[in-house]
Amino acid sequence: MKKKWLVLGSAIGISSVVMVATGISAMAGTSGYDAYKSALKNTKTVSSVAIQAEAQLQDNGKVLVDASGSAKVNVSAKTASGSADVTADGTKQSLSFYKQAGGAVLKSSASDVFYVKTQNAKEKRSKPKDDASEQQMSQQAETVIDALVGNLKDYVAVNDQTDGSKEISVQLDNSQLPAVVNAIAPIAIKQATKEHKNENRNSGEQAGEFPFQENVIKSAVPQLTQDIKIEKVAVKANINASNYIDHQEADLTVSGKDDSGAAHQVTLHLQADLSGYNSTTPDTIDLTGKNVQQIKRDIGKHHGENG
Amino acid sequence: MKPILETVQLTKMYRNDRGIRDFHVQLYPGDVYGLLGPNGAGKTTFLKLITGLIRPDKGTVALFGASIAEQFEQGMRHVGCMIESADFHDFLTARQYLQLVARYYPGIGNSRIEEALDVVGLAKAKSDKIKHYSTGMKQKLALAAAIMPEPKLAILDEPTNGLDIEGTVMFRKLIKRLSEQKGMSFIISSHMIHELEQLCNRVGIVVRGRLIKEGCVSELLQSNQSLEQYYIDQLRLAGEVSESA
Amino acid sequence: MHSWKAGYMGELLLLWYRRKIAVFGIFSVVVPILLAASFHALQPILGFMAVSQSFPLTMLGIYTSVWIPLFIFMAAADLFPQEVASRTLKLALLRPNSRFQVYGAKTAALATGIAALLVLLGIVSLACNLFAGTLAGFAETAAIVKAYIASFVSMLALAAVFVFTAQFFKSSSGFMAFSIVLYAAAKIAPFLSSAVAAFSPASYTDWYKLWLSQTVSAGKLTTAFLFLASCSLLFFSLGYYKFVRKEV
Repeated sequence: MKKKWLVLGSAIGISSVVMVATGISAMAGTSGYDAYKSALKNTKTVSSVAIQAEAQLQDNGKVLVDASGSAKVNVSAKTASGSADVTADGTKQSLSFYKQAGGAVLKSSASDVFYVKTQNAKEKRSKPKDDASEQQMSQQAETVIDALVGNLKDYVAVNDQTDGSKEISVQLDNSQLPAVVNAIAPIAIKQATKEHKNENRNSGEQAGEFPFQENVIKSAVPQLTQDIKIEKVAVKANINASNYIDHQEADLTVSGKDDSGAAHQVTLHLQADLSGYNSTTPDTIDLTGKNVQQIKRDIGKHHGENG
Repeated sequence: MKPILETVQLTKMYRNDRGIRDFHVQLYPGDVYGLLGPNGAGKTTFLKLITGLIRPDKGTVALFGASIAEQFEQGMRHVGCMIESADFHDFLTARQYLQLVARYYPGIGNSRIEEALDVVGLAKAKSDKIKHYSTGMKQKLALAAAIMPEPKLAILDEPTNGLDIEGTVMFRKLIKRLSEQKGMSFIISSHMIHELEQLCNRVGIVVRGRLIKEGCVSELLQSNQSLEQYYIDQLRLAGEVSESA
Repeated sequence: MHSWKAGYMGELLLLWYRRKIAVFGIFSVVVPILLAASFHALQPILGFMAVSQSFPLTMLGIYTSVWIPLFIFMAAADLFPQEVASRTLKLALLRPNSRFQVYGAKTAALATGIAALLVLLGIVSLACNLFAGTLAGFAETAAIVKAYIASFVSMLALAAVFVFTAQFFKSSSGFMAFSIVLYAAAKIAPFLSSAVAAFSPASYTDWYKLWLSQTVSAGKLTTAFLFLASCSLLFFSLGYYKFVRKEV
């Protein structure tokens, strides 16, 4: 009789200890997910940073769109500068931009015109943020995101390097994605790739419109209509020793068939390198004596409306 | 001779002051023990205690020498019971139920199941769902389940409740046959005192949670007109019934 | 040993003879087929999810978060509170079986039911693939089998919790209602506080996904497995403690 209670007691004792211990270790956040979250939060606090970014869209291995660019951003002074090259359908377009006191400046390599978007007074007077409530908001958002991510957070692998930096990686294939994502994503992708057919193709060389053809990009993407599914999502990041994200890349693979029944495998690759934390000064440009044109407000959306 | 049932100081009190106190009972092979007493005296409590359905506050129960607190399986191996009301999984048929019961005991084949159903008079209704049974039929099924494994001891709580006259006769004959031919022992709680008088060799009288008298039926009948008279006398002595009864 | 088996078989048969469970089994066959058929039919129109090789895994997410928990509540309600309400618990207790054997037989029957349901759902979902013409290859099938086995572990932990909970109830409908509310609360709680998720077996219903990834470390899997195993043992023991003291 005593033996029975002893066995039962120790079963309860041991299992509750193990349960609490494993629960705590699950909560303690030694996972890559938490490391990444902390680095992301930390990286958000920088006042300035230089970014090198690249994006590539492929269809069955053929490059559709290739974009690369670099930027210098000063968050606290709200200034930035940078340039970007976009190659789509074999045509290359380049542009550079400056965001400085007095407004934003865009320049395409195709012309000598500097397009300026002046900041009006309303926009300039940004509301002073309520720090406390914002923090609470982001805390709640974090809890919700944590809950949505759930066990997927354990997918995030972390690889500690000898120099104190960390390699974070996560890869999800179709079967690992939540059922909801699997169910909804095809609809979203179908809609997204369909849209450009309805848009009228303007060669954007109208006065006041920035000469950049977004349609070129959209029309290059194959229009998927059936058997659409997300094959793979992969994200990689490097976190340096001072807990800043210095490299970030993401891959998304979608497969499907177009109207003619031809199979497509579309991959999107994004990557960015960050450097010069808190020590980057964006370039500025002096517009005196340059060919300057005021730019319309929302590029490509409300045609013929001068801002 | 070793007792097949032995309780020592068996006590179980409920909050409403019902229950039993200090039961010392010994049963020997071949005994047919009648448990007599008014409603609520504690007969069912005693039967539940000796079958482990409830735990005693104090005291011990041993069945065939095995303490039921520690070696329950061993003690219950040779015991068949029907305790309190006859309740069943009513979505089963009588035969399905007995097949489930049979699994617990070695060597019970289908013929034994059919035989048990036949003996209690349920042969015709054996394929009906139990939910369509009357109280008496359920009582018969409970009896069939209790005696089917041919246990050395059968514990029967109010077995004739709801039985019709033929049923009662069947019951009496069955107990007599099993006790005489197979040497089975019984504990039968009942208020059908004539039944007990014919069946039992020993009786115990329970009043307000106490086993106030125990004796051999043959001896009691020598000094009393009938078991009934003896029982009433005992209750009167215990102050349980008025003088006029 | 003999009466152990008798008790276990008895509980299994009782689960089976109860129509409810059989009906549940039939639905388990019909629902995936209906879903697969509607996905297949709606897919060209809505562009909804296609019935692909991973269909059994996509469906597993639904099975483990809703369908099997529902089965657990129902079966646990029949095994414990329902037996108390209809006073049939004594039928098992009066056999030459210890309380531990009776309790063990009941939980083993429930575990068997969960396993059978998973096998049934897995086979039906794989069959849906076959009809959709997207038969899974060997590697995919192996992954599917692995995921279904892993799901069994998490469902077992969930079952242990609800078997324990069932010991407090004397009516099956009361238990069912409470279980559904408790489970829903356990599913919502992580949205309010992150700490809850780490200690709630309800947040491990989709842990089979961890077994599908190459990047999840063995340590993670071990920790999660230990959590589920200890959770099963803890609640199984606590439930037994309640059960052994039950007076009928």
